[in-house]
Amino acid sequence: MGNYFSPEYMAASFPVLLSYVGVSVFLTVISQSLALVLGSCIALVRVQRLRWISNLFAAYISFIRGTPFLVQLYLICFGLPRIIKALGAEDIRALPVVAFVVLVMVLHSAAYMSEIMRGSLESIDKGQLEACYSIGMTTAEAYRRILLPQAFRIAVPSLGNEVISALKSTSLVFNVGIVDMMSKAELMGSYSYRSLELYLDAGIIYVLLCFILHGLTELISNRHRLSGNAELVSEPATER
Amino acid sequence: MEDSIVDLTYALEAFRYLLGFVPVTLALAVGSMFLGSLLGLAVMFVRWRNVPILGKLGTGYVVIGRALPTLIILYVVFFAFPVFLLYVNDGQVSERFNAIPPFLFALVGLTLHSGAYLAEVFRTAVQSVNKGQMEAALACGMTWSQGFRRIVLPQAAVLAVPLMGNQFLSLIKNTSIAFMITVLEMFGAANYLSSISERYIEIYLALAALYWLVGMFFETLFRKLEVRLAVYKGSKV
Repeated sequence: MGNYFSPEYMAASFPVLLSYVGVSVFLTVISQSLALVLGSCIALVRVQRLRWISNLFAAYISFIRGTPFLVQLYLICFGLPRIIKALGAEDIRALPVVAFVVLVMVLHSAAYMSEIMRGSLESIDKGQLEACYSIGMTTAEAYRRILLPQAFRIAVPSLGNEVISALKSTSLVFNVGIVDMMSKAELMGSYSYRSLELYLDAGIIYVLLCFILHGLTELISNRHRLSGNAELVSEPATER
Repeated sequence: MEDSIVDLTYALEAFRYLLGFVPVTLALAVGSMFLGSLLGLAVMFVRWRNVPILGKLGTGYVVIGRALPTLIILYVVFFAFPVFLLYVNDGQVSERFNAIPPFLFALVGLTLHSGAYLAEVFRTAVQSVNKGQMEAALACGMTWSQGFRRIVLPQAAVLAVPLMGNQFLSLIKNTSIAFMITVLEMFGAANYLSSISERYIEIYLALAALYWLVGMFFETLFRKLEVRLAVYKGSKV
């Protein structure tokens, strides 16, 4: 029997691929923090029912949810530089591709997160807002001090799922020239002809990262568990 | 070519070209949805009934299958098969590998991917049906499979259908990843087209519009199905 599958090679390449894990983690952390802020803002605008701006956001969310991440990635990373160039910018090479990838990931996740936040904001009892008004708070104060903290608590599990799926989508960004685990695995595979071992390694790393993120989500939602009679909406586990 | 940023005529042309690849994308999505449902049902059953070894395997599959990026599942399937063939043929370089269309690998990969999610969907759906329903069915003298088919299934379907609809919509989007194992579906076609004309904006806008339309079509379809299934609602004790 020949040596078609080499566990030794798999073990030896694991640390090499692991050394690139920072790229995926960096992209996830940066994009998801920005997406949470943007998504919450969009949700706040949408629950106010400002008609035309709300419709505009609805169209944006529908577009993001209706098209594959890969299409959005290509559209922005290959299309946007052309638009910037056509608008008169001379040296678009100065903009690193990471900036475009972060932009795509933020726009992508913000759409999903805004829907999550809107759902949890709407699940909060109306009486809460009325109570805020009755003690003289402004709308802004009411949201900042009373409604948003509750909405975030309700949203934690769903937001965690969104972060996990964003992490998984970082496996696609090597297509536009990001040097990460996947491109390293591709490169190493083209020399060693042992792609299977390399992608199994990458798979193990992704699974471990997902477990860590899942654990963190559980930790946060346990710490901030809603007390008393507040209704916890538990979404069944589906892919978005 | 340099005259305008977005050439709408070209975008329309690209749209028409890409339209021809919708059947490939849909075949991939429908095929892996169907096979994934069978796999998901099987996994749900072995977990539900606590089949000794298979139940544990099923749980492991669901946990890992949902944590793995789709691309890695596709790559592993794609690269594992030649290795497997080498083992079977004991080192003989096989011509058979090249004869297998990449579409099949994508189908297997996407089935494995969606099976893990669907197993969870079915589990949630079945668990949502009150346990007393099955007990009552058994008490009436039905067998377990009769009780499941006649009593539990229709009620579970009410919850499962919208979730399966979501899964299918996300599966349509996920088929775009199949182009990386050289399947020529909608995304692969767009990628090919843009490598010739380099008109990325028009092509990917047209592609996005196409995915969007296909998605909306199925969304409306599922909504209608949901309304029909609503007759089984309200059977809660």
